[in-house]
Parts: sequence; structure tokens; C-alpha cells
Amino acid sequence: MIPVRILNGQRELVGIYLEPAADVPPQHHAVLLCNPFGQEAIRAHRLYRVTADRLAAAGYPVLRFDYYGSGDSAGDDEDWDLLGSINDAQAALTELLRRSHAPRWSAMGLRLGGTIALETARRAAQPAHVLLLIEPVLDGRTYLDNLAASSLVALNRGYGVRWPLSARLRHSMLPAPQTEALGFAISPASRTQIEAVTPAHLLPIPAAQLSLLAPSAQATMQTLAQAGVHLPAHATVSNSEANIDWATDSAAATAIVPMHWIRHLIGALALPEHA
Amino acid sequence: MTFGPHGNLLGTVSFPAGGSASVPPFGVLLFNAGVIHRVGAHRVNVKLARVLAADGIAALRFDLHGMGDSVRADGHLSYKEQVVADLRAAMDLLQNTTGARHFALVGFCSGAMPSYWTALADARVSAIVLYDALYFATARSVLRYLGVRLMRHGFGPKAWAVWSRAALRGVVGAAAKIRQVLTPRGPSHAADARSADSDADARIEPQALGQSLLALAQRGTGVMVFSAGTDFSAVNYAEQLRESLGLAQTKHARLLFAHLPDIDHAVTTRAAQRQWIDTVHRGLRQLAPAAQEYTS
Repeated sequence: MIPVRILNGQRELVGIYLEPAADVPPQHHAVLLCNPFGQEAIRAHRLYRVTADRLAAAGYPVLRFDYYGSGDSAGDDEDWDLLGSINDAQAALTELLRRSHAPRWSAMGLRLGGTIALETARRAAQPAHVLLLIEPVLDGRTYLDNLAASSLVALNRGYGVRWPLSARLRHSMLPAPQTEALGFAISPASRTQIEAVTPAHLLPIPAAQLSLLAPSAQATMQTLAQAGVHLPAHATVSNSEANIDWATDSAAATAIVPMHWIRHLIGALALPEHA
Repeated sequence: MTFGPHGNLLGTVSFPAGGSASVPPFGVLLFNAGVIHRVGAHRVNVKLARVLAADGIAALRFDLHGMGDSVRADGHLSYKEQVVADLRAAMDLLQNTTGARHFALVGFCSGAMPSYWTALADARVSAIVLYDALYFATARSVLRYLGVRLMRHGFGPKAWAVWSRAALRGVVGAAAKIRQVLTPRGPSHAADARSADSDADARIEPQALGQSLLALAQRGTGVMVFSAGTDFSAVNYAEQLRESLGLAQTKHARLLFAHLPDIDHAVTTRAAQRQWIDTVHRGLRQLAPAAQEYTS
């Protein structure tokens, strides 16, 4: 585990690089982990740590990192935006390939991290092998609406009976509409960028293999079909077989790690065409 | 950076603004709340660290063993001993990197008791902040909680069902409490008590804790106890903690109490975060060691 500092221009990012474990054959295949946004990233931290540990134990060099304006990296919450994060992920990929000297690379992203992994692969000089998108955001407007709803649920649950009773409390604590979600700022620029995310962004697929895990594969396929998105043969949609609300702070004390997702990723990376 | 005896702990240092030419008045340790990693609930540790750095105060936010990005412990120490060891290692790091010789520990929820234990064990701790970890009901707090629920639910049929269930739970709980008090304590209880003495799960006696916090303040270690209003089920008026800790009539310059009725436990909104950060910052400034203590 090597803490690393990545400079993306003036943007100072913090990451953790893991070299392949010494007691397994090195895989010469680097893996970049792309965080989701805001509270979802807080909730997903344990998943990312365990995923990185398991990948390194299986022989893969791994980099996980925080975007500018998020986590441990420099920048205020207000500085975070989607396009900036994609740019940060490109810098992180460069750092990963520089450190690992790996000839191949793949990426994983949960929720909005899926969008970032996808766009990073699209802009990369070297094509990606496997992209694992876990419960990705396919419709930015719906995603923002759901975050807004989750924020209200969190306030109602947190303050209990006081919330409906106290106009003063609501006046002082209810954020201005559309400016934050679960305690994380959403700037006008990032809102516009997220709103632009649509199912069509999946195509063309910038990787040898895309694996999309969704709460309901069938519903996701219907959504894609309605949007006129027809996935090619090297893209698969599977059930994520988990029912996790990532956008909540009601279970802040739970560390959520669906191990079958990690096994799925390691299995995809180990296929002969990617090895 | 990694630190600790085996490099198993991971943290991020925020150096005071203006460079490292002068020794900061004190260093602040920020660490996990529950299993949330070192950035804190809604990234509040990062935000506080930057406010402190701008004010010339060094800070280290880090993960306790096995949490966040830190590696698990070797299992030779109890939880209590291990977290105290982790916090002492964090002080060593901040001392070596910034020159700070006095430290404040900010215990957010589950971080409160580790901060308290470390203050008892290490004279370098000049202040502790215990946030929303201590809940001791008083007659007034129970009445205020029932009052706010009554205002919400009233006396309709559904409300009566809620009140009946609550009353039943109260009767059952009271009966259990009476049985516990009346049951003679045999040898097994004595053994339990002995093991609890050194165990992190030992039941907290509020009056004893209050006296211990006062003793820390009298020794010169600043203590700040503060609470969130949340849904009024825990702490719901300003004097509640002082009263329940047996310190209602005690005034000491290094023993501060605060209650922020409008914030929720997890400081979910940015408005709540600002109140929390401002309160901790002001408290730390108030409890900072006198200038001659850190420049001499």
C-alpha cells in the first residue's frame, strides 16, 4: 500500500497504489478504481479498499484515488465536477501505468464512478480491456432527482418528529434547492454535466469487454432499448444481486462489501483474452 | 503517509498555513466516526483540518487500525489499548512532522471514548472534544422528548397504539431494572466487574465520568463535551449533559459544554457542518495551551 500524490495540473489528488502481492505471479494488467460521488463515495470506501486488496492479492497492480474536491484530495466540495473528475481519472490512469509498467489496463466504477471509468477509457490512448460498471448512472436527471429525494428522507429520518413540527429548523437546515445532496455541494456546472448523462453515453463501448451489473438486468435492458441503445456482443448486463441504497446516511456504520462483485471482476480479468 | 510501529496506520497531515517556520500552538487529531474513514462524516474532518490549517494549527486525519485504509492490528492488545496506542502513534507523527508538543483529540461519536482514554494515558493531550457520544436521560429530557412526540402524534387511534407500545416497553424495562438492582451480586458479577474495568464496553457511570472529566480539566487538559439535537431522543436541552454528569454546579475554565439543537448527529447538511466546524474550532481555540507553554 503506497500513498501517492497525483498532480493533474494545479489539481492535487491523493491516491493509494497497490503493487501485486509478492507471493503470486504478477498479472501485468493494471486496474483503476473510479469512485462514485459524494455520500455514495463515503459508503463505498470499504468496497473499494477490499476490491483493491483482493486484486493486489491476485497479482494485479491497482490504483484508487480521490477526485479533486472529494475525499482526501485537495479542493473544496464546491470544486468537484464530473468533467473535472474524468480529467483526474485520466491523470490517475497515467500514474497507474507509469508505476506498474503494465501493458494492459481495466477499470471499475460504481454509480457515477461507472460514467467516469467509461469516459476515461474513451479518452485513453491505450484501449481498456475490461470495464466493470456497477449499478451505473444511466440517466443523470433521474439520478439527481433520486439524490434530492434521499436528502429529504435523511433529514426526515434524522430529525424525526422535529422536522415536520419546526418551521425554524427547516428554514435553517433545508438546503437551497439543487445546491447539495446529502451534505455534498452540487455546483451549477456539475449539475449540468450530470444531467447530460444518458443511456446513449454507453456507446460506443471503449473496451474489449464491458460488464454492467444492475439491480435488475431486465429493467436495465428495457431502459436501454427504450433509449434506442443496443449493446454489442462484448457487452453484458447482469443482475448485481444486491439491494444496497448507496445514497443514504442512515446506515453510516455499515461497511458494505458484496464479495461476489469482486469475484466477478477478478473472473473477468482472468479470462484468457485479457490475461 | 503511513506511520505507527509497523507502518500500518495511514493518515494525511494538514500543515499550518504560512509554512513550517513556526511551531503550531497544538496539533489536532481527527479520526474515524463509526466505520467512516478518515475524511469523516460528509467529509467534515477534511473541512475542519483546512479551517485549522488556515488558523495556524496542524492537524492529522487518520484511520485507526483496521479502519479506512489502515491495516488491521496484530491482535496482541485489547481494543482499548490498541486505539490508545494508535492515537499516541498519531501524536508522535504530528510531533515529528510539525514540531507540535500539545495535542487536541476530536472524538466524533465513537471516537469520544478513545479520546478520553488517551487523555488519561498521555500528558501530551491538552484538550479533548467529545461529540455526541454521551447520552444520559434526565427527567426533563424524557419529558421534553415525550412532549415533542405528543405534539406530533396527538391522541388519535394510531397515536394511542404508539403510546401503548411505548408504555409497555417502559414497564418491561423498569421491571428488568428493578430485578437487576434487587439481585444479589455473586462472585460471577464481581468477575464481570473486574473484566469490565479494563474493557472498552464497560458501562459508563455518568457521575464517575463527570468527576473524571473534571479531574482532567483540573489537571490542565481541556474538555469539551457537545451534542446535537437530532430528533430529541438523546440530548435535547443545553444543560442536560452537565446535569447528568453531576457537574451542574461546577464551573471550570477548561471544562466546556455546548449543545447545538439544530444539527443532526451525522451533520448531514452543509449548514450543520458549518455549525459543527465553527463550534469545534472555537472550542479548540478556547482550550489551547497558553502561548508560553508551547513556545518555551
